[in-house]
Amino acid sequence: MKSFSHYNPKSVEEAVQVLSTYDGKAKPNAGGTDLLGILKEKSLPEYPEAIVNLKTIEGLSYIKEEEDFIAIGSLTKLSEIAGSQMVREKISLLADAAKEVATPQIRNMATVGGNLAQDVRCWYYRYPHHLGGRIVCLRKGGTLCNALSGDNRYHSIFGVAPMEKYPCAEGCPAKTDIPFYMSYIKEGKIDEAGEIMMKYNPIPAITGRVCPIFCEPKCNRKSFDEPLAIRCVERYLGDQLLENKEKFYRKPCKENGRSVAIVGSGPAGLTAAYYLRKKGYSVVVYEKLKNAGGMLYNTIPSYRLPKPVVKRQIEALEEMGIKFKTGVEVGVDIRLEELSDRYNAVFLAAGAWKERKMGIEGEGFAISGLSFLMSKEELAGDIKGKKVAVIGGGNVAVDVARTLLRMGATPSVLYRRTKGEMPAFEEETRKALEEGVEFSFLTLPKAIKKVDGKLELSCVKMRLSGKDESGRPRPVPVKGSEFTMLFDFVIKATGEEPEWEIIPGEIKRDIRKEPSGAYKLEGNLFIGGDFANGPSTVIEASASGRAAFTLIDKWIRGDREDFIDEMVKQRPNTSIFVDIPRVSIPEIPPSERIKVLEGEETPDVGWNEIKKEAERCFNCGCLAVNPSDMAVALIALDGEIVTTKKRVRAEELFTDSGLGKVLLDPDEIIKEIRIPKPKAGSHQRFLKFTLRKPVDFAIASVATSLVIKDGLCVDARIVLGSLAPVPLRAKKAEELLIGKPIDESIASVAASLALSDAKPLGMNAYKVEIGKTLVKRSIFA
Amino acid sequence: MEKKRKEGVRSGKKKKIKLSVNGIGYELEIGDKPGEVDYGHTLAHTLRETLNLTGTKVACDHGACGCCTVLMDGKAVLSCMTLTVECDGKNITTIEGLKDNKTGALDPIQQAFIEHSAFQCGYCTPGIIMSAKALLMENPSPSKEEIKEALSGNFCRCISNYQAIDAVITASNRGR
Repeated sequence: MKSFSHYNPKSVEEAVQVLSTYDGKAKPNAGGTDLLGILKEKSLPEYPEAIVNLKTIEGLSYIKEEEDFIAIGSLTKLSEIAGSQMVREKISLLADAAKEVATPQIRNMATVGGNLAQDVRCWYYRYPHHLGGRIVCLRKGGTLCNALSGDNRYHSIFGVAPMEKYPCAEGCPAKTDIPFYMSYIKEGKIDEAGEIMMKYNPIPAITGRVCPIFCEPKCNRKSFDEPLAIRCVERYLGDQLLENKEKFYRKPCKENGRSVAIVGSGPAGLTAAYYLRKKGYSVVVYEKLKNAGGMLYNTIPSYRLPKPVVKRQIEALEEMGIKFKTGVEVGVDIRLEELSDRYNAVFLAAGAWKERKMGIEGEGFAISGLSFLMSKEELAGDIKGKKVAVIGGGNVAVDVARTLLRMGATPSVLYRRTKGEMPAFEEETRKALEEGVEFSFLTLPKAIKKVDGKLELSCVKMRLSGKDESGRPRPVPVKGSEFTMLFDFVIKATGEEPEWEIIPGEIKRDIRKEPSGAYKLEGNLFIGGDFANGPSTVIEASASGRAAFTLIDKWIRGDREDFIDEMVKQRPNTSIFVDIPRVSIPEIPPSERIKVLEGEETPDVGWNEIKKEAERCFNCGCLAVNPSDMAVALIALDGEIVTTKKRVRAEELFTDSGLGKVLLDPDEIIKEIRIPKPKAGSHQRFLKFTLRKPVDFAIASVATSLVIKDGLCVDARIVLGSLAPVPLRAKKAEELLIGKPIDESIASVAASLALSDAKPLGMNAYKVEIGKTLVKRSIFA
Repeated sequence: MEKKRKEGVRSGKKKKIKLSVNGIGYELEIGDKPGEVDYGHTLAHTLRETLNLTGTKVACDHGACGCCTVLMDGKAVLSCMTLTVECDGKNITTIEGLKDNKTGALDPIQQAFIEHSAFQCGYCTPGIIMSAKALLMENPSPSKEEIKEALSGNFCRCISNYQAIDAVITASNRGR
């Protein structure tokens, strides 16, 4: 063992004090039989800096009979509990459980507190460091629970201990709980999946098509094979929601009498409108363009996001009672002050439409990228067969170039940095390259001149040197590299910014904080989306719209319950492992793709593929089981655990509290356990199945505590050990027994019920039968 | 804390632990030099490497086999899962401490093990005998079941378990 500092505190207070100064880097040592194993194997990435010996604390080893409970000090040895006449007479279940732990020598050393606080017994988790290096599992900050696809003979058959945070959901700007809705899709429950989705993102049909997928690169499955095709599932789900819009975009049950005006009908506006309307607000959305949908409808090309999808989305929202006033420009057709007066709140989500000036000579010859995308039909006749320069490297530039190609023109993208620095989505750039769009990198136009009916672009070559204020490589001109090119048209797409002029007066623009943020200005004005944060992605703008909703709703209602807390559904914690490859979405060959301007280039995927894909979701969590026999017994006896910080029912301490969270704080010590005295007619039984009777941890154990009165079972607690991440009460079996006489047949039915929700993995289905047998015998033998 | 410890060493105020092994008192200094006890040393290590009492065996070193069993204040415990620094003030008995110091006679259990040939390679024997000793000290006339239970934490790969149980029965009968 590596050395460490060592403390022999005399009191609980002293022990806690030392532990807290080490901030999690000191471990208490009660008996040592668990801790020393971990230290010898060096199986955990962090080796403790100090060991705090609890055995020197006096007064924590006792068994006392109080009026209505039995108190046992946490440092009481298991052999003392197993050997106590009083414990055996009053709570034989606990004595039996203590007797079943390990070996006589270990019971002479191990304490009840230590037994309750021991670490999981997963052999991946505990793999010794000196044999080729420790295994980094999910519990140790890795990405995979090795037991899921590996050896899971000794693991849970009742799902996982869930993670506190899921990397996919954390990656998503809207924090969409992806594993949660995937688990419903696995079960074919589209409605439930949709309900979860809508809590985070009410426009999944749109994001399912244009999202640059922040989630997929974070998917843990990538370290097994390939990440889950999350966007593909999201798109399917989104289409289903729109298809059944009467179910998912329902009018609120009650109007709340308040009203909100939303300026802009892009993703931020639509999202805010949905959540506000759902809460009973009357919502009016103002859109300056002819068609609602902001950039979604008006500038994103149809091959990426078909117009009918956006239309259906708007229709669904309209049917909720949201009013859209299109062709009304705030500041021109209606004053902002007027909206401010007329509505309880105004949400400005007008996007980022103002195109930045390049500041070059002859800039007036260039067409703006956004207006080209909006009115390309008008140019269709002129542009066919022409050579067109597209200036810029963002999504608008690439959209313009790919659209031009589909209109029969020859686009050439000029960008002053290299491909690696392009702000456009990589996927889009790749497709543009495949389709034959020409890119001139490190090229900066300096002037546009009209020469013989053509446009002459004077350019200079650039090189990258150092970093600019945004942290990107700074392009600097290469001396003497000036050259000219001839084009028929020049389209500029060099970035956009919000049209701040909408806001009159003094409110200034330095508000940008984070892409998904929303902010309150003076009075009842709120801003969000690209209007507040500058150009971002659809999901970021949508998340900002939801943030705006929360802000507005709180502001109008006053500070009461939070929106997200509405989540009531219990997260399913089942895990399945299927070794199937990621769904392959057929891609139309580039030469075919460029023939179609309006049709969607990514085809639909059918339900079978979607369900299979959802099954690939690992629903990440840890499959290890809590090894404590005493915990199983204590929960069956409805005992309490008294620590230096709290007094809780054992059942509440052993909950699926999430990976990483442990039962106790690093500076918390168990002081005592208390077991209520059993009522008359108490029937107690502890049964444990191991591969080798002494020493081994349970494959399965059952602690059953029944109360029989006048021949009928009046109270039942049945606790399964080593079958789930923490001891699991078989509540269905308990309910069955209440009010009935106990006989063999009812014990059999109860046993089947106790295991009915088991979802065994590849190698541990055998635990189901063992569990059933133990439950049956614990009730009737 | 590391720093504090080293300063302690330099200023000559070395921490010590006192323990009694087989009736002999030892005062061991804590440190990382030969003959000293490191914080990371197990009792099994100290017995074998520092005190040269190699009768106590280490097989699995993980508390699973029982070979390292010694008596601590009369109870059978695993010396491989015990930190020496946590044994201050304890009375330890190892296999070397069983014989009668005056006469040199073996403990009745040891004698019975020889008579019953209750071992082949003998590596697990000291641990089994210490477990048996703890049992007979507490319960001089155990039933066969009680003996099996008391020895259940000791593993023998040569399958001498049956002879070991018989030997303990013999020893307990002699004690009567």
